[in-house]
Amino acid sequence: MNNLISLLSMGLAMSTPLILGTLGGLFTYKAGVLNIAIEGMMSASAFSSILITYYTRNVWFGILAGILITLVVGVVFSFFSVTLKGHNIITGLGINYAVASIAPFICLYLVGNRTSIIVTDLVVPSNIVVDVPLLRNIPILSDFLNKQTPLTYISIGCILITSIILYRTKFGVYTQVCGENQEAAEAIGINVNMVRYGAIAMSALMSAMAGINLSVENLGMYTDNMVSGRGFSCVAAIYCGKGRPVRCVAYAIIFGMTRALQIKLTTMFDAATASLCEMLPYLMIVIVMFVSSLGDYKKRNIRGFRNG
Amino acid sequence: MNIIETHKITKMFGKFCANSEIDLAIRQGEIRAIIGENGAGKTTLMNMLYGILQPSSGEILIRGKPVNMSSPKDAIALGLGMVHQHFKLVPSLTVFENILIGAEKTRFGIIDKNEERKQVQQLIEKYSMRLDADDKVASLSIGAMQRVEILKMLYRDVEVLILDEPTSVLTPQEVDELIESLRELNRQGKTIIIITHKLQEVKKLAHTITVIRHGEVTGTVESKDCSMEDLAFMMVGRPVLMNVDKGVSKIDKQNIVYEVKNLSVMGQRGNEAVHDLSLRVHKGEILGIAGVEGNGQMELAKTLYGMMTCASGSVLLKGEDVTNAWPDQIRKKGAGIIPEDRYDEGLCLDMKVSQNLIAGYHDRAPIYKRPFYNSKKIKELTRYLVEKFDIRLSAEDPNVSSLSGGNAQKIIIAREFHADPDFLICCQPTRGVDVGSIEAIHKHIIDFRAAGKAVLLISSELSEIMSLSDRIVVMYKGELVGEFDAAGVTAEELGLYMAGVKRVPTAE
Repeated sequence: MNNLISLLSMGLAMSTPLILGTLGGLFTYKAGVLNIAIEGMMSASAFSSILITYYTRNVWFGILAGILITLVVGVVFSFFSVTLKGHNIITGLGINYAVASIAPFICLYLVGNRTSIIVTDLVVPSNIVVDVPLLRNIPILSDFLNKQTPLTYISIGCILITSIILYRTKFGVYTQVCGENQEAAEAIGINVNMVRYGAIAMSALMSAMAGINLSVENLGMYTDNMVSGRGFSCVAAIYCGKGRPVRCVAYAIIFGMTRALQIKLTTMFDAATASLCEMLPYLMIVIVMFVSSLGDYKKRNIRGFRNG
Repeated sequence: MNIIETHKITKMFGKFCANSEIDLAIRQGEIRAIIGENGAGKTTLMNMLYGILQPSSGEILIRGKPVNMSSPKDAIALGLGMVHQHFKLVPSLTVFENILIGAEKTRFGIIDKNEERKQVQQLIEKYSMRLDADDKVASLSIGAMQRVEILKMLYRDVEVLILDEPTSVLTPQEVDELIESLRELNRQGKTIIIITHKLQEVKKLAHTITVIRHGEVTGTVESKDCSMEDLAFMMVGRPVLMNVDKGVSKIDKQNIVYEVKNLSVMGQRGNEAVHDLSLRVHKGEILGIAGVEGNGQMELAKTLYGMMTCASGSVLLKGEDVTNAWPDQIRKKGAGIIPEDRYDEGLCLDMKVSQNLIAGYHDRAPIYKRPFYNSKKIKELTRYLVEKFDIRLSAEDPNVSSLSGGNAQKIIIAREFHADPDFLICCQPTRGVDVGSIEAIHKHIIDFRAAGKAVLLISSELSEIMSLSDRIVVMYKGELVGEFDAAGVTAEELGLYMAGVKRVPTAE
């Protein structure tokens, strides 16, 4: 029982960046932009927020800088994929690799350590958790829902906010119009490029929060490659959930829980088996995608190409 | 008073003159039809009136004042609205959301859906359109989508409604409903301009008709003063046969070329789109399948030519089993295929005419001898077929994407007939095709039958089914509900079966 509760608690914490990245990615998904740069955006934010905290000795400056720098990354991605109409996968890969190589370079050049920056003297992760009065007294539930980090609660709130923005504001509706029928948008004078810039900015903003959760909130440090495919998990969650906010978040939580399970399992086995366990989150994505598309596949009786 | 006038407007695309010195005067409150063959320049003209294109020379006057429109927004502001041939709708949004795109009602930044729904509901009632404001556009029929497009314009208070080929995608019933709606709008004072090449509808609806050929106006006539033959003559520039001369039938009842037994096919929504369907086509016979679109004809056709698989039943071609065979196997066994959607299933748009003319038969002598293609033979064949089937090309061997609908269809016709099959599955052979090409395509099908071959014709054009077929079966909700000798049945009678009002328990 205790094991299960600690797994759920950890799973929720590990789901936070995935929920945020997924919700942000929903904007680009709806706008018709395939955004694999979520990965790079998370990295940029995780890195820059810690770096600036390290230099200014102020966490708030770090967080602000993390958000701003990630927005700049978003604008760069927008410029290449929207203004210049570059292929989304290639521009996205470009962003991911650029961030992945710039971060260790700056690290080594400025901090003198290639792989990590530690600011635990300024941020003590265990002090950040929020003790919610409402949850405190509920048995069992409080054991894993209470005492999570602020961004975990914010990410849950973001589900509602994202739904409202997407379905109840002009910006959200235009985002859907641009993604589904660009000509319909142009015919009534919507600036498709502007809407896509906006959608990518939303994605960058939420990916930035995800990155801050990973580095500042949870560890008080940055280590190289700490995002480790979470951005891609978000893309998988969006496609499994077919762009519906609550469903997508449900998939994000499945992936988050699997990550927690993997960490729990690695402590139970020998080194070799443990490293095998590390593929669990990724294996889970493949399994979930397989299962979620199986239903569609079975129903198909329309033929595509024939081999031979 | 003339609401729209043009003075000698000309549009050049490079050296090509799409519209040459066109003078047009459209009176307030009339229904005007602009007709012409595909590629005659109708759409170019309308795009200039709607601000999508700007004239190379000449001027446009709206309510007597010269105007310069640089985008559709300007046209809408001047009271002109256009319903395009390809709808500009967002499938996942509802009817009212689509109508209000760009004109959303918000309160404190949040869209007020109740207010929007109310306004659209009033609009629907005002023009008595058959629509539900809350339906998702994705679930609507083509006809309903078109009504949404029309309302989108009416919401913006346009006085003039321009419709580009509005009936080419509609079923006969939907066409009647559209005509009724447009008449109602006209009664409420709207001026309507309809661009089309379908003469029957023009005669029914329009007050005045302007005919365009090769970018020039060949005449403007009152609808009541001219016959369909006159209009066709003005469009094509030569007399056109409006009715097909079928000649005598030589049906060999003993010789069954094609037989479908108890076929069932699952549809995309998990329903049974075709249910326990059986039919036979004899030597020398054209069997027509009539029906309102969406009653399983598409699934039936796709299954018969190998693009879908059936749930149960069997198909025999000349006694051989071809159930769930792939298209190339069906062709090898001696059937020709004219698929329903020529761009999706019949042609490859970004490949050359010559390549499309051998597609599906590309593994046969003399054009192919392992492992090489004989480009000289392909060239000869292309030249021969282009001439024989009168395919009009803009260059030596252009991509199919540069061809009009009629010429593209002729490529498929040429390809399939050249293979000399014994049986032809023929779906929507003249959809979106101009009058001149329709005549030619019908003649090829009739000649094929005269040569003792068999044809299964599936078409949503009832007039086409009636004029070509020897025998007609009606499909309703995935089943055959009636069988008729084409000579002894009226359109009204067939209409009752198509609508499901009448049925014969077991046809065939």
